[in-house]
Amino acid sequence: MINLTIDNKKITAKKNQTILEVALENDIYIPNLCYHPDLKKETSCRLCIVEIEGRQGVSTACNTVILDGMKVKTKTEKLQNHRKNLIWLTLSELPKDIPPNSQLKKVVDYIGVKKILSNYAPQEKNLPVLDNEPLIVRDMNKCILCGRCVNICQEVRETGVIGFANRGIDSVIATAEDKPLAESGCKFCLACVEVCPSGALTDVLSRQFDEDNEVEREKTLVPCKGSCPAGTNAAYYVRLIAEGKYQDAYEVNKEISPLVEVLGRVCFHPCETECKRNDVTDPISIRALKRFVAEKDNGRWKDKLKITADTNKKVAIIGSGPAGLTAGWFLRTKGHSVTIFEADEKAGGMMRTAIPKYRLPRRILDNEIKEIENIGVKIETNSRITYPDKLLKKDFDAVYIAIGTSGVMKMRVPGVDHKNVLDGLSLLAKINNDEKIDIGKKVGIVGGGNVAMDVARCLLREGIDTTVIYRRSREQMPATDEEIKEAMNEGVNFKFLNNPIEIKDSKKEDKLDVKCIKMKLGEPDSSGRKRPIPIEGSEYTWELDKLVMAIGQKSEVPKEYGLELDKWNNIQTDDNLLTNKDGIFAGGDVVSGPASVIDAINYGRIGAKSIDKYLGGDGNIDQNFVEKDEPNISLGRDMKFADRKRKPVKTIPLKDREHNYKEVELNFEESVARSEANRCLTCQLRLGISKAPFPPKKFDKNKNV
Amino acid sequence: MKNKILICVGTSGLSAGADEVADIFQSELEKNKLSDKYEIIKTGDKGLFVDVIVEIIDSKETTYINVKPKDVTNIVKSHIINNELYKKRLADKNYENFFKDQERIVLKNCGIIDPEKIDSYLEQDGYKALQKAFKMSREEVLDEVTDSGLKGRGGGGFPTGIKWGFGKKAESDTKYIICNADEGDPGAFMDRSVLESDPHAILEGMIIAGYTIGANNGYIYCRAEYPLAIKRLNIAIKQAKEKGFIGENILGTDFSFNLKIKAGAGAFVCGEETALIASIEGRRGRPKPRPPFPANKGLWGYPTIINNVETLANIRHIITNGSKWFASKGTKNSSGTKVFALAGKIKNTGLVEVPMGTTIKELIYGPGGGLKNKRKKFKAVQLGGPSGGCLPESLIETPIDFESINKTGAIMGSGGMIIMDEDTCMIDIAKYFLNFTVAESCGKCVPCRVGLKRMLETLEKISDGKGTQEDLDFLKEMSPTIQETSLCGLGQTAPNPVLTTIKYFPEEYQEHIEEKKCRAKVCEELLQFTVVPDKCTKCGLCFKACPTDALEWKKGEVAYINKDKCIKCKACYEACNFDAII
Repeated sequence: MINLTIDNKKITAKKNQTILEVALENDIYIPNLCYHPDLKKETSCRLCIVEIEGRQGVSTACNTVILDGMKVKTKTEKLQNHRKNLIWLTLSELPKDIPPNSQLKKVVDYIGVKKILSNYAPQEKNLPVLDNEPLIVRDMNKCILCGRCVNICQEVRETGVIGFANRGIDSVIATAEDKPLAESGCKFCLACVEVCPSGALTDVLSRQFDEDNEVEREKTLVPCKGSCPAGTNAAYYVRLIAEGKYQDAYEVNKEISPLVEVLGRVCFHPCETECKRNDVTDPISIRALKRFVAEKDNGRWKDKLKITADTNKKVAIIGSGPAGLTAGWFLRTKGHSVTIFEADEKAGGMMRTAIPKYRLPRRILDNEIKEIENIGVKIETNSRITYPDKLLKKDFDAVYIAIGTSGVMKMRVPGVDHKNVLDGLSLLAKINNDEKIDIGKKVGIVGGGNVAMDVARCLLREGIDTTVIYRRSREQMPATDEEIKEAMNEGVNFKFLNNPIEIKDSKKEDKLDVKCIKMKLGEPDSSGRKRPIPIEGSEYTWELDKLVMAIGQKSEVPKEYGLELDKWNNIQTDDNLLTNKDGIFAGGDVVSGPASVIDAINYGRIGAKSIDKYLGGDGNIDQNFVEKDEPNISLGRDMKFADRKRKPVKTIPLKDREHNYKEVELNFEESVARSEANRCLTCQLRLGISKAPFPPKKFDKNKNV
Repeated sequence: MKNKILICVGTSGLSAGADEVADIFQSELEKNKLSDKYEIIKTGDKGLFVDVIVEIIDSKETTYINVKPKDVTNIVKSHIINNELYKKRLADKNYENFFKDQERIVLKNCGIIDPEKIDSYLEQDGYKALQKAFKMSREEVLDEVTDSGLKGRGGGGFPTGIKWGFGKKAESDTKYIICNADEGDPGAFMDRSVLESDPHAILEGMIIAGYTIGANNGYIYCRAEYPLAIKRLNIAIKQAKEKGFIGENILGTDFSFNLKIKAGAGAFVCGEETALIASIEGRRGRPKPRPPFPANKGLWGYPTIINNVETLANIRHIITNGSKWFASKGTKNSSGTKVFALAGKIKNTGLVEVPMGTTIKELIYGPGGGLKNKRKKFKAVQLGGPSGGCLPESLIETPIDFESINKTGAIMGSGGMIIMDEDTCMIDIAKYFLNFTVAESCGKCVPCRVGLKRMLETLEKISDGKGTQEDLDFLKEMSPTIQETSLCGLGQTAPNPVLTTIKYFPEEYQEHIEEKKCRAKVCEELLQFTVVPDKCTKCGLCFKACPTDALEWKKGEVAYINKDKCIKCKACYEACNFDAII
């Protein structure tokens, strides 16, 4: 250990530490701008100068190693004056609008600005602002040449995209030959942005966030994880796949939910929508990667699965959709006895009744449900529960209602109750239950969501001439892009910007005359999408055998439940999903309104936590299947990185899809999965970068420098 | 023994046609069948920068200067065949004076030996010092260098023996010796001259240094602007290898030493040790913070000792003659000699080597031969290049040694010495050097990159007549910050030319700021020429000199200058013999 004094304060510190490190650890702030705890010492800003007894002149604290008996002064009048002059010089070439939250601004405020030359106008560099590149805005007029971005890019990430160009007063940080970042091997890890103290390198506007809000910060910086309703760490498992650790990658998913393989087939993947790689080329194929690892699962996690000793508490879950199954899974791991009551013949809810088999082969669903049963969750099918209160009175300690949304939305047009107007969900349920359907040869489907696509593609497989009619244009369709593409590919017809306005019997027997009107797009509505407006006089009649409504679902909560509902008929709960009745919780679509599998899974998780706590548990449902490792922070050079396009998921040929429900999508080959995972921008690495030491928030302006 | 004809073919000689002179000598000798009696030796520059110098050594030593190709036939005919001096090109008194008070150690072989022939060096006891060193222990060699009191001649003045001691102490199997031949000060050219005229002296110094500290590898970092030096160094290395002075098991010892030349790309800052190392490593020439010092962690991370050319040139003499001999020269704290590059408004420009402690005045009026234009008044001497300072006449008696020079605010530097007369504006000279450092700043640290630029702008403002007291205060305020907080020597010393001119020539700054006047008539924006009627002799010389219609004059009348038409070219001012134009 080394004994020294800094500003007369006696300090004992570890060997080989620098004065700045020791000072900061002991709450003595020494101004600095080019220093960063993760980087080599650049010593370019010169602000951390100190005086050391017995040494001539000044020394920079960031790179001076402490010695026994050293006496350091950090705030003498001389140092104060030098710092003020250095700040004056730094500002003398910067625009006036230094970002208010930047380290530079804070340091300037801390040191104070001296008036040296009256009426001095800064000599700005007048460099072009590079704001047309992916993810990063480069405004080198604001650059103070501290070198942190260069150091992290060259020495830590080892990508070597940016460096110093020119010299002296003309020095500038640039790519080789001033080429765009994408052509310079940039991996868009944004480490440069993270370490920039002056606002010269910033995230593009849409990615800006409140620096002080850690949760929001992480959500914005790692949007794949941030956008997942259940908080699945996609960044982490994509990295594990890139490293070839497939089982680990699978288990990262398994920690979040029991339905990994299902999600690998059907998740609507907001992670991909938000993936930052969108701004460079196209997003990482995260869902397909999840499927890839799910198919490789060797069950290693089963040995690690923690199941708490029996609590002798009983939980009843009504509904075996993703919310119910997930809640059941986690409640069981907390030692509770769980029974899921399912009204249908088989468990799975909408996953079984609504999702076509060509998207989700039933063996996958069956397997994952089996795993849930294997840990002791009981599933009672053909059991419709009418009075949840009675379950409580009988022998259950808590009830979780996850009955989904079985009600169907109806268009408000004349003739909508015609017998030849069908609802999409019922139709899908029949098809998925292998029931024969006889609905004619020509069918129209109203709607633009995934249910509409599912119905259309199923009907096509039944040999029916199928047309989707949608009142907005393709761009506004809520269905996922791959669903729309496949529907078109398979031969579904589309009538965009068309809307039925009246349904009646046709003169021909057993046919419908659907009166439609053409639409145009107006100003955006409350959903942000352009409002469709009917074009007067464009009405026409469309002759069909059947018209299928697939415009949405709604909750239908039995009155007997006696629960408080909101204006959309969803069950009202508090943040812990507790209803107005003690012991009765609810979650999933019946609370949120129609949403996705992954949303329902999140409700299942929250429900499990709340019910566990309600039953006296700690509410902690975390599983630790994977030992956390440190990521490699070096990315290396790859000049073609930015160009690499998303690897398409292969599908079976069209002719193989006719009149059957064979799974359409094929799994990634291993090499494809690896290289797809390697396209990841590794946004999460940015979270591992240390914070630069800012000046104390409160300081005495007259005393400090 | 043949008679010798020494012809200086260094960079300065070559530019004056020395190669052609040598060729004609050769053919004249052959034509007159004198080739077996006379031998032509192409030497490096002798130091005095006149045109071609030819020295004939027969029964006596005769020097001809400013020899043109057409003179050669006459010299051969008159001097060699007819045994009569060729008076037209005979070296004058001034030439003798130039060499008279010099003491040549570093420059000893310059103009004497053929730098492209190792035998020529060996004749002058070349590599004897190395042989002697090998018979001594490493400690003894180190002690000898330490005791000699030799200090680094590159500018810093750090004791060479102590530096070597650090290198010797550093524990590593791999160590490096680097010769810093990145001579960059404007007006300094002693390193180039030594490299061109006596390259083996540098190699010998490096090998001895390598032996002493235990380094088996050396680099000569030479600026690419010195192609002749690089060529001759390459020849020297090749010949030294052939003779076994470089390579494995030198002279049968267990010591091996290999040497490479690295051409710098011309950045001044690469003379700074850490930037130089970065440059050899193929990286951007930017200084790094010290510690770690190169002696502990230098090239490729190994202990590295960097010495300047002139420093290394002294080594063989110290080893041969002993530390006492060397320490006896110069002053107590600054032993030995120093080579100066005289330039500016001085009669003899060139390289002068004098013992430390010689006064500036002795140098200027001795070897220097005084001012070039005797009508002009001496104003200042600039020492140490862009890192140095301007000293006024009142300090002309200052002895040249590290301590005395530093006290004045100037520095010894690498030995550049620019003499200025009253036609030099002190603001302009400060501007000149600052322009240089601004252009050569690597741009890494704030005080040097931004501070110097802001100072330069302020000086420009003053010389443009727009300066205020506040600007002068700004210069005084910023200078100490830049000196104290800059990362490397470049920035730390760059304000010196400004500070010394402010210190020693305050009245010139005041005149520029308050009176908007430049007494040296250099700052164009401030020039305003008028005729003093009382002094005007109505001769009309000014009228004839004026390239525009600004000068109005008729025979028998006092001249008049129309300010609207004047382009401030100074032609009239220079033409007037009566100081009537001011």
